[in-house]
Amino acid sequence: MKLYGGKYSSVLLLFGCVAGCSWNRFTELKKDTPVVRLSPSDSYSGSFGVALAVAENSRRAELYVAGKEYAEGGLVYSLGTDEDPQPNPTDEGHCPARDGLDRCSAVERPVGLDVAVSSAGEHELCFVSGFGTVEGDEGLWTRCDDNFRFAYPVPADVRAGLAQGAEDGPRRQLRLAANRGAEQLLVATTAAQARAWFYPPLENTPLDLATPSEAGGDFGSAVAVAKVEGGHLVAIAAPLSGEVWFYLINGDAVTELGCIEGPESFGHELASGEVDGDGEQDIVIAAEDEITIYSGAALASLDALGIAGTCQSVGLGEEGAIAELACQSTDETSGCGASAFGASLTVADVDDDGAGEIFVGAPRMAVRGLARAGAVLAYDSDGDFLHVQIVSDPEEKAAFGTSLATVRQGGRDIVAVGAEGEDGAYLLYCAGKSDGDGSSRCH
Amino acid sequence: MCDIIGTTGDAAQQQPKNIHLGLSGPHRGRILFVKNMQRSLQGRIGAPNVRRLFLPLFFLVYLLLSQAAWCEPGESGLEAIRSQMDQGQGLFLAKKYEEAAEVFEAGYQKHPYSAFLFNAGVCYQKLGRADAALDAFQRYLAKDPNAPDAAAVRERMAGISQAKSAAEAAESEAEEGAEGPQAIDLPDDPGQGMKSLVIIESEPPGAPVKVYRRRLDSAPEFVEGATNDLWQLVTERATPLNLTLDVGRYHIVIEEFQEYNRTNSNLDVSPGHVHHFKANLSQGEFTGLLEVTTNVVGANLYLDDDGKKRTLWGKAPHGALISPGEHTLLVEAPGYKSVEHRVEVQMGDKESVEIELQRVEFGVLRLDADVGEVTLSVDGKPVGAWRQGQDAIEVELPAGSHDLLVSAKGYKDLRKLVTIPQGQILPMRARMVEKFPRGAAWTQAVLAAGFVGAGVYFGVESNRLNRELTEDRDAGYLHAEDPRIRRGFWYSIGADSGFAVGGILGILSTYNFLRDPYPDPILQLGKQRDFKRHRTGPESPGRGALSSRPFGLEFATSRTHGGAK
Repeated sequence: MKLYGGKYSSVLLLFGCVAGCSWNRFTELKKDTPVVRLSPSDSYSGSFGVALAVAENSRRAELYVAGKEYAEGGLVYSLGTDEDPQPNPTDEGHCPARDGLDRCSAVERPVGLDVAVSSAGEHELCFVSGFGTVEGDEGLWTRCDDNFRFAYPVPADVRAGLAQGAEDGPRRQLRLAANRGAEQLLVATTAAQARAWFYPPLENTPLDLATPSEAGGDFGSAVAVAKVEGGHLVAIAAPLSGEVWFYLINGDAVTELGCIEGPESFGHELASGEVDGDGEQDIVIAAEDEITIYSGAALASLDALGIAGTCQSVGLGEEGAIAELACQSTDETSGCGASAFGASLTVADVDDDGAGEIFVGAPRMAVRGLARAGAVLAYDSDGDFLHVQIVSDPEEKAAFGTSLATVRQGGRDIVAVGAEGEDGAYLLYCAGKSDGDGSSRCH
Repeated sequence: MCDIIGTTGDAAQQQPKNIHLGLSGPHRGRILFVKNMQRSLQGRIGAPNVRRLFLPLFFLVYLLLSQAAWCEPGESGLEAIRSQMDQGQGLFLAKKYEEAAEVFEAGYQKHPYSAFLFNAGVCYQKLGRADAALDAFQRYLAKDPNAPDAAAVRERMAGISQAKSAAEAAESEAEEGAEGPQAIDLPDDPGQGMKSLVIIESEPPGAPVKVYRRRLDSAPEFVEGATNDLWQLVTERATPLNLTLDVGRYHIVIEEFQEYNRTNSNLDVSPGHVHHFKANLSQGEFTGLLEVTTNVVGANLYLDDDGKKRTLWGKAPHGALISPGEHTLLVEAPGYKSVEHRVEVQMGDKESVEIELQRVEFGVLRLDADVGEVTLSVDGKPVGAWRQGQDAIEVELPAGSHDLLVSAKGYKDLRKLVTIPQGQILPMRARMVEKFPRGAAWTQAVLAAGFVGAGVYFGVESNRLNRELTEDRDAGYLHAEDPRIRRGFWYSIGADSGFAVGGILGILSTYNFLRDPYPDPILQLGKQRDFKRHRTGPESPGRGALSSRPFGLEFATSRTHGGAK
């Protein structure tokens, strides 16, 4: 009796343990995870995860992940429009250092366009990823979803400097920006020459943006474009001077709106997106320790100051600054003071309520005791802290949050995050939500 | 001349015919008085045992008698006489007088003793055959003309003759035509039933003997030197002699003879018995015979020796002449309770005592084994150890069932319920069997424990990782490339594998722990033996007393590997 009883008990115990310790639960955990990691292909040798750009239309979206400035190329991932992204790159032909006669030197902030116009016509889902030469044309190196590549021409007076900068990078400081959505206005700046220019929607002819006479010498260190009712609101920062200069562009017409002056480093990072839900995109400006969100509508309604005017925040009023954001430590994160809070910014309507949430990268933030693992902090449109976003396996010096981008997926926005230290990029499907709802992409 | 005689008599008065023999004890010369020994034993131990007990006694008697100068019938002759007498006596009691007469006549032809003739005459008289009766009595008188009852026999014969004449006269007057002799209505047996045979001997023989008979029952006892008017001198002869006497009280006197003193004794003669007197004239006294029988042959008998300071009086069965009076008899036998019995022996009488010895209420367990060393526990209490080369261990235990446990290092325990007999030794030999090697089982158990332990560890880690990952997933942090998923996956497989392999090994281990292809040890029981010495028994139940006595039982000594035969 004992023997048989023991046998039965052992069998039951065995089955119980096997059932209780099933490996299937881990297989289940891998399904529809709230975070998707994008890894470079095995053949990719360049750096990865430093720069992000999104090109999207109503049919699909593509994410461009590139490395450091001046590095070689970048990878394009097809995300579709649902929540089943391709984890492997679909295009690796962007901004090659050398490809025949073509040359390319990557920029720190690439930009994606739903439609780009070359001399040969329009092309969908293009990424302007560097400065170089394409079939003898020198300019902004562009490659589209149809694998067509061309160069946006640049103003003749800045071309030489950009070309020289391509060989002596730090002096070039080429920045690109375009508004999200339709009628994208492409704006380029080079802080090395304190110059800015733009390409009206569906045009590839560069038009100058006059540099204010009182603008700091680093004018063009950061740039953002917001779509507002009167056209496109362009913000160009000179963070050493703590200034952000605004332009309103309608077609070819440029209105110099004025400048907002802030603390030191004010404007070292800029972003645009619809935050307050008024139908007009707003401008997010990062300073050293805080983030300020300015109403795009308010900025666009500023009186023209004149290019020679001084930098004064006049006429903006209370409504102009929508919210201010400050770094937050949580149970998972710490070290806000040295977190590089604001190193990257993006605005995404992750809950699809019409008002965007602001995501702020803090790539040096300590996570779970791991120094400089990096985190992304989410705030609502009122500036309230929502959630800190990390990855489940943070690594020391991963610099999660080096770069940020917003992608339309499944009827709502998701956030793409670069992690320079680990050469990785992530798609955050549940960004901004403190409750993951057990995943399934956190619907 | 051999004076062994069977008795006959009236069926209503006679006892079953037996042979009554005189017994000579170790004290030669004393008067031995045997009085209906068989009847006495029949009453005490039952008829079936009488013959069994009588056979050795009979043999002993025969040996003694064979040494007597006056009676040398030999073993076969004595048995034949007895058989002949028994047969005739049985027929007589069954009133088959014709057949009885034929047997007595045949007996006389084989053993010419006058008693056969007398008995045959009585049978003829019962049949009414006057001529045959007269012939038999005539031959009786011719055989023993000095018989004390010769006158009575002649008177009997006269009566028969008279009856015969009267019958013949009556017949002649009767009508002619009757053919052949007719049975005559003869007078009945005038005697007092069967007569008894009295044998008187002395050592040395040749001593003058006088036998007196009391005339009246109310007569005073025979007094030496008095006139004793109411006592009649029956006969005066020299030893040895045998007499056929009627029932009554007699007084036997052996006169001074050579250098020996005079001695005398009373004798009550009962019907159909043999009385045997033997006088040791050198001691000059009359004795009584004490016979002791027990259910244990060889039991030690101590007479008037409670302290057992003297040598044994004898070993049962034993009989000897002792001085008259009250005596204390102590009977002992190893394995039996001692019995003390008081007995009174009358002078010239025989007292038979049968002692029923009861077994003691304990027994002895005697054990050895076929291995180097064993320990013994009884009823859960250790009682000792036995080592090869030593005598068997002996443990005195209360009789009954006991739980026996024999243990030896490297061998299986031997547990057995044994029944210890009363007052006997139960020899036993433990056939130990080696324990089945459990190395494989232990190895499997250790491996099973290791695997299960690993399974537990991996399971705990797996659960921890799963919990962490689930929390991260719920917090929106989890991505599919998280290495903990893979680690947890393999931990789960490791845990399951550990449990599975550990479980299988555990089952195998359990099986191999339970599996035992070797046979069970055997407790080989020997034949129960009686104690060879007197034992006092255990002081308390379960407490053993060790003995160094050798163990003499024969057991098979061959062994097989790991087991017992």
